[in-house]
Amino acid sequence: MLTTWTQIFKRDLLIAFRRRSEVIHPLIFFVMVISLFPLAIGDDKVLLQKIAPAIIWVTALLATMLSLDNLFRSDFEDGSLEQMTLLKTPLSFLVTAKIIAHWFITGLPLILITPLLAVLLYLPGESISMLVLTLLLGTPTLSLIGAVGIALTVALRQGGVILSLLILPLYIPVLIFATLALQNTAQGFSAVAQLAMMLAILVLAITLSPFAIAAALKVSLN
Amino acid sequence: MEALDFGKYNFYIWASYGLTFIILIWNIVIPLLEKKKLINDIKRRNYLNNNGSNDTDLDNMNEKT
Amino acid sequence: MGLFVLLFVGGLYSGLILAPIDYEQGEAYRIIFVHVPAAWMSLFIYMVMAVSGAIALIWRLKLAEIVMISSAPIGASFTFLALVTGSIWGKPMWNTWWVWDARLTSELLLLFLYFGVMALYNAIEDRRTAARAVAILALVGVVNIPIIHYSVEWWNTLHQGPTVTKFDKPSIHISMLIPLLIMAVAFKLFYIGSLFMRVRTELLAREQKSKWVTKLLESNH
Repeated sequence: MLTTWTQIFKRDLLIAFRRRSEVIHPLIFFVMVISLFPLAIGDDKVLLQKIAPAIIWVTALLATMLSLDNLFRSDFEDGSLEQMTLLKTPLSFLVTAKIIAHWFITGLPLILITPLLAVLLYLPGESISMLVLTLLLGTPTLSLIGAVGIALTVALRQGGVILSLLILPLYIPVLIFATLALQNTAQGFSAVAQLAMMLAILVLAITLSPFAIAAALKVSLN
Repeated sequence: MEALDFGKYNFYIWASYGLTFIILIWNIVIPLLEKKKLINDIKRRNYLNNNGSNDTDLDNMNEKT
Repeated sequence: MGLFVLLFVGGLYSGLILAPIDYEQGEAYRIIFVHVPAAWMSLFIYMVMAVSGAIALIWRLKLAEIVMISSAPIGASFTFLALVTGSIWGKPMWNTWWVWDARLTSELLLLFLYFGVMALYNAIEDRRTAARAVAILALVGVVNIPIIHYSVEWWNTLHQGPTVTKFDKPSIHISMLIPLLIMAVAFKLFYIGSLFMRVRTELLAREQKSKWVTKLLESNH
């Protein structure tokens, strides 16, 4: 059972490594959209500093949504997804392999490049560390919830549009707690409560979403 | 009818209750219209199936409509 | 439906005329008699939708699927009503049409969830597959319901705290409580009536190829 998991995990990483453009595109999107804001607002240090966490988080949301498509689509189209459902290992367990791989491919690079972008937005040091922390807690949740959405829509023609309609409402609590944590940090207060909530949401997502994802995949494969 | 006059809040209260009324009516009218349309569709299709149509498969193509 | 009309009129009468003036808010508080029942319905219908979705997933009952999907537009309507009447109430009382506090935001989220359910159902060709997909979505969104309900306890915000659904004695005066409850029951009856109308249509649509439908239509029309 574990070897199947590891195999799928490694396979996804290998595919991503070979198709580097799939990895780079959402990252470039992330960087470009964030850069749009100082260009649109002008070099207003105070304003940029204030909205930097919001900009980075919202763009992270959008970039994650864009990257979700390559989570299941190619496996869906060439039949390997169907094969996975036929294995003895439960599908809900196997999808975690794909999602963790996906996070390494999309979430992690995002987090690594964020400090650089935060500096460009005049964000001070402690806020940057808090930002990275919230992203660390939040992006896995985004991948998990997003996986539910893409599992439901992978078989649809207009899948991309509906995906955003389905997932964004579910992303909103994550966004709210993350930005709340950052607001508190900016004002000098403790953000422990918000971080605890984000951790709670993450744990909830980890425990429940694999089952939802597996069920949704089986529906889509119909 | 002075009992129904709420002073400066008149607009707000009537707007709320009016909207409620509209939404309730909406939720009655729309299902009725849909049912009528569906029945007409079914009857039309049955008629065409029984008496033969020139369109053959086109009628039954879209299951969802 | 007839019973609903009776209760609705009764509720309206007691709410608008009999109930006394609230000493804090004056007459405007009467909006409560549609706002609160609508909000209750928005949550209640979502739970019905989620539960019938679960039943549809586990036991593959067609009727459960139909009840689930027919409830969605009605639930969305009540959510919309709750949001807008709340907004209308907010303007004279707190001089704002909207505030991004926990309860309003999560109720708005509920509206989006309803929209998502309806959109996903319409996007999938086969009715049964669509119903299963939507059931999963509805169940995932169920987390939002306790958030909405407890949001006014967890966060201290503009929206007032719970007065009826607390476990000890409700802190609302009986003469206001009664019209409120009458309207709540009236709305529930409306939901059932409207639901049955939609369920009938959906049943006809699903079974339109079968003999009993053909016979029914021939005999009636």
